[in-house]
Amino acid sequence: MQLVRAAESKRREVPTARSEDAAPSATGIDVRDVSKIFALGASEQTVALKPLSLTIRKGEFFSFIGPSGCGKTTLLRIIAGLTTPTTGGVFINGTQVTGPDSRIGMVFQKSTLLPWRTVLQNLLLPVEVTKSCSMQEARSRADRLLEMMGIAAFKNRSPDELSGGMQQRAAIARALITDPEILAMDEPFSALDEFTRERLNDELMGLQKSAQKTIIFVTHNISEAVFLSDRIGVMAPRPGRLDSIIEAQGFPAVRDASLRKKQEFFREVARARDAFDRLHL
Amino acid sequence: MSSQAVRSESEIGSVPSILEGGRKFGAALLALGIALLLLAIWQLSSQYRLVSALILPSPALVAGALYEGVVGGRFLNDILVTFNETVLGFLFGTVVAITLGATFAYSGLLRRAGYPYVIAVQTFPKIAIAPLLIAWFGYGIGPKVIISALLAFFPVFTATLAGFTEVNSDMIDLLRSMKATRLQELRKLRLPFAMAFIVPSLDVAIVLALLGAIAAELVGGAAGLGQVIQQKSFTGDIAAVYAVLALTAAIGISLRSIVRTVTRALQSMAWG
Ligand SMILES: Nc1ncnc2c1ncn2[C@@H]1O[C@H](COP(=O)(O)OP(=O)(O)OP(=O)(O)O)[C@@H](O)[C@H]1O
Ligand SMILES: [Mg+2]
Repeated sequence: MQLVRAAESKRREVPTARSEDAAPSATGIDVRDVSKIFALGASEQTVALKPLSLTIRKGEFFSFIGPSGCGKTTLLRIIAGLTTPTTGGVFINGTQVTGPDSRIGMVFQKSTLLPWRTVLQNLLLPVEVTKSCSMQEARSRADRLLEMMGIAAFKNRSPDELSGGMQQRAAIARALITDPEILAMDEPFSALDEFTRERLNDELMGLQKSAQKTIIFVTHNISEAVFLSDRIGVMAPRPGRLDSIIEAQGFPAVRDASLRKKQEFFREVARARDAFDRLHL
Repeated sequence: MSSQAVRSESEIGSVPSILEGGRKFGAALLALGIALLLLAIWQLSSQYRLVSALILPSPALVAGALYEGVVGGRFLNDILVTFNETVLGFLFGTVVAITLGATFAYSGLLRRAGYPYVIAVQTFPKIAIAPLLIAWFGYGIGPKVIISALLAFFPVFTATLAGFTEVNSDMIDLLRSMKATRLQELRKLRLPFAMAFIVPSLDVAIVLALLGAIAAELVGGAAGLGQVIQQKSFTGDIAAVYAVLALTAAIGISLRSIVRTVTRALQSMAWG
């Protein structure tokens, strides 16, 4: 049953088969025939991403997982408008992404908090730049976000006084300050220890459900991806490509820490591992 | 869930401020103790003639020479000359360094074309050209300012180049993802990032500027502390030489702390 589903989604959404003329879906993120080739020199080039198409639904938690060099970051950057695809395009709610897009908030592997600003000033940076709301409103939003991420006590501290986990909380709060519809996260927790990572996973889960964000999440970690995701895009290297899509099966509506000890969870992790075994990496 | 961690970390944060104050006081006390000990050794060794007065005059003699030179006013003009040369050299050197460093950072072509020359000048022992400069420009402050500026230039130049080129690429992506304009990118990220490199290099530059000025004065000049050292050692007034050395140390320390204070204040004013 699960395998059939996987095959279905594979047939439905994986490479190129889709025609150009169908209208992009009105909600969510439509990735259409997107590919990326990097020119390395006069004759040399890297195929970072073979053409791929998929649709990420509004409010969905979608993870991309795969070994190093399979094009996860490249795809995420294309969706966020930081890199232009060689072919194809990305549509958010039906409009094409042509450059950096204010509907997307980014979180990177390293927190990228500016060290000469306090935590609070770092949170306010996106509002200073985009002027999306008044500074007064931004301050009250920042206070609420700092509270929500459990780092209110650190608001006037310098980022280097924070632990890695706290820094990532601040980076997530910063991405949320302009209230973007979509969060794009590139291995946000991979530099953290297992315990901190799981705790931040729990919090991210809660946040996504309460704030109704669409989250695109890149990771190397299979159980993290299984715990968080509605669907997982399995990617393969040389050349970078989307191999298949796994849909979460039989999980409770509300996922919390207890899920990690349940049979369903182990079964889903095993299923994701099978997908990688089939790649013969 | 996280309240526990938050509480314990903020507690850790608040304790050291008291300890730190105590530790700073202890360190200052120890530093003073070391100074007194050295002074005592100095006094005893000259009192019992362990070292010849021609090599190490007694503290009282040096203090007398210092008093005569500063309060009596005999060194005042020389202090002023050296001070002017140093400040001018520092200003010229750093302004050119920051301009050139920023230009090199922005133009890869210029960087590749100009870098060999920069390295050539950097590795060249610049003080060796002082006699030539004096032959060209005479005994005035010109040659001293040039040497001083040349020495002050390099730490600031390399810091500026690094500060503008080594900016974290994820941070740039972050700004781009917010649709920052080029000007915002410069103002919010590149400038403060570069400043974090440049500001500490200015501390080094001011000390090198002083070194350059004095070294050039030693080669030849009408006035300046380097010239006083030259004359006094020639006439065997070793106490005066020590007095001037103490003066140059004091000037170096004060200039450096002025530069530190001013640049740190500017930095925190500009970038919060
Ligand atoms: N700017 C670039 N110029 C040239 N090649 C690039 C560039 N960015 C990425 N690549 C290449 O594209 C391929 C995919 O890179 P990408 O960073 O997307 O992989 P990834 O899946 O994110 O890997 P990792 O897990 O290590 O982060 C790699 O072979 C990489 O070397
Ligand atoms: Mg990557």
